[in-house]
Amino acid sequence: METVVKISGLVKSYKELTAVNDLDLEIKEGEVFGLLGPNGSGKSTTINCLLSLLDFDKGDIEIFGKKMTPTAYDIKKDIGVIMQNVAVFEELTVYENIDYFCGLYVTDKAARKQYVDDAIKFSGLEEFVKFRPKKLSGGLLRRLNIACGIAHKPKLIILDEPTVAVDPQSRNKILEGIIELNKNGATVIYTSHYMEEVEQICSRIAIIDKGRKIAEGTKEELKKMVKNTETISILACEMEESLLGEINALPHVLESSYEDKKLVVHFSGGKHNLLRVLDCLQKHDVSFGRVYSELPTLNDVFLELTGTALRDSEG
Amino acid sequence: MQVYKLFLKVLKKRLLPAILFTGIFILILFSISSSSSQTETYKPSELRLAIFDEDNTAASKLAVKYISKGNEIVKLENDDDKLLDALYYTTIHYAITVNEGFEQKLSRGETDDLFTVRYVHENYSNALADSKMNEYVKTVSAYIKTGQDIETASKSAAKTLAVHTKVSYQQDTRSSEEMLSFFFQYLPYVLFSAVLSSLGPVLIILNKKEVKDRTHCSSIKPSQETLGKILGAVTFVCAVWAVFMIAGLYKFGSAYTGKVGYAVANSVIYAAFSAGLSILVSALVSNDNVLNVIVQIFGLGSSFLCGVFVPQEFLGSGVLTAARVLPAYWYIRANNSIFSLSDTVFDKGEIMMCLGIEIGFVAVIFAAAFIATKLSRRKA
Repeated sequence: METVVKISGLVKSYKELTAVNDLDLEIKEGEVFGLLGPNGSGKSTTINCLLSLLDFDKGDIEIFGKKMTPTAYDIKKDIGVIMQNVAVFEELTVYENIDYFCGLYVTDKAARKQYVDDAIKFSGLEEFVKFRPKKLSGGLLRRLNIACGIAHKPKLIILDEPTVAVDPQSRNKILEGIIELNKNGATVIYTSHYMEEVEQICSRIAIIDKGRKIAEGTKEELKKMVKNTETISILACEMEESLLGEINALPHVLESSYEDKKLVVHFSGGKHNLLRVLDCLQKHDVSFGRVYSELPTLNDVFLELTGTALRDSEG
Repeated sequence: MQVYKLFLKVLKKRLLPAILFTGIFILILFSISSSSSQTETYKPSELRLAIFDEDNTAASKLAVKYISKGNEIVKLENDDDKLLDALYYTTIHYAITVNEGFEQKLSRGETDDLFTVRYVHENYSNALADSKMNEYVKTVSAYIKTGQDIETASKSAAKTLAVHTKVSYQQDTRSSEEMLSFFFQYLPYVLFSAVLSSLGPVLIILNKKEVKDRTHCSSIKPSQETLGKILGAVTFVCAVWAVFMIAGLYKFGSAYTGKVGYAVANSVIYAAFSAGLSILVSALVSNDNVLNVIVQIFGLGSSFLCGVFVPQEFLGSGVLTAARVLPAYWYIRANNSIFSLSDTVFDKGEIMMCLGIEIGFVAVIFAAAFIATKLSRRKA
């Protein structure tokens, strides 16, 4: 697979704050590449440098094998951008907005009409073509924002947190759309601080924090980086705290805690961990309510690598 | 062309302020010039009267004849109820009865109780009728005192009082050229406000960070984008300017000769300055409300300081010195010279100097706008 985007040693500072610090990334053709990190971690700055919207201090950026510069129009024509903030004109209708942004890339009127119609169909905005953005719901507005970015059928699509403040139904629709765009041949760069979204759609993920890349790989590869392979939570558990020692002594247990009638046990590897915990509770005649067994998430990866939870770092 | 088309589409939604400024100015212009050209003639007031002669003598008949002259006489029955109805419904303004013994009393020089009058309430019509009767009685008495008999005295009085003062209105002699000079004098404020209040918001919308970023990520060159915006701005400013010129031409067409060409050129340069200022302000400001404040402060401020609203000769020398840094000052100075206003005479050299300085302002404002646009692009 060809390399679509190559970022080497990227450094971008704002006075004393280093927003992006020696970042290296390589994104291959056909990938859905996730850039995961809390707010302020440097995701958007990286994207802005990638698009030449920001000057950077050091490093090189290549797209489609060519150096990316503000005047690299031959590269820009194959890039679609969907920014975090909705970028449409309130004075134009849905159709006019898509047509305008598509027209910045496609000058042929007949071809553009087809592209715009395809984008409207893709984003499910057929019923709203004559609406002005003000009349659209938050979810529809986000879909319009995406339609404006992908109407010219770009080879590389960059989405910077496109689902912020979107209802679950619209979020699913957007994520399904991104998968479809990728299936149609587009390489996608997706930034988010929602780990579930990144896990759901990305084939490869880079986790960045404080401007640095702290991990990169497929979600399976990333999860292998953590010691905690399984977390078992047992609710409404009526047990003596002294039993924790016996639970900690079970095979593969990393640590356990008991608080507010909730027992949480973390494991590192091993099979049948749940059965062993339940056996132990049964042996001591402990009653309990619900039982959950969770595999590690990207949040666990982030927690282990940085010492703070991804969600704690937000905002 | 894509940006140009977008400009026009957005402009269509933001035209209202320009339409209001232009429409109101033209309306005021038309109404002022219409009222100044109106011709009116004096027409004496005519009253509707009912007159009853109970004396029925030669003197009373002459009195009735005199009072009737110039008024409309309504024939009514001498009945109190009917007269009150007629007065109430204003069929008549006033009812006069010439009392019995009119001739004898007047012959003796007595002037009291000669008439009985009826009316509903005091007003201008009653006062006019009273005045006419008093004037007649006094004049007849005066002639009687000279030794004339009552009949001759009545005729002499009627003849004397028949002399009317000639009333004529002073015509507004302002010529079309004078009106045209006022038109061009107020133009900077209206042109500036109309251009900035519509063009500014359009440019602010086009310069919004989000859409600007998206545009800069596209394959369109910045020069094409700027060209589209400049073309749009030029189209709009030309259209607004043309509306004003056509309105002026329509109203004062006969005065559009010779030196008016300088005034037209003066207004073109000022329109260009307004467009440049719009581009500069919209590159620095991202809020409609702030833009409105700037329009009001700069528009009104420079108009007051530079002599748009108050003639320059009434402004203090300190104010005029300060106003030299504003293009409106040079606009008005040129306008004064073109139309020989404010104790100035037509001076081609003076006019060309003012126009040259204004062109300098236009160059500076466009350079500043270019730099501000460039800087805002880098900031984005």
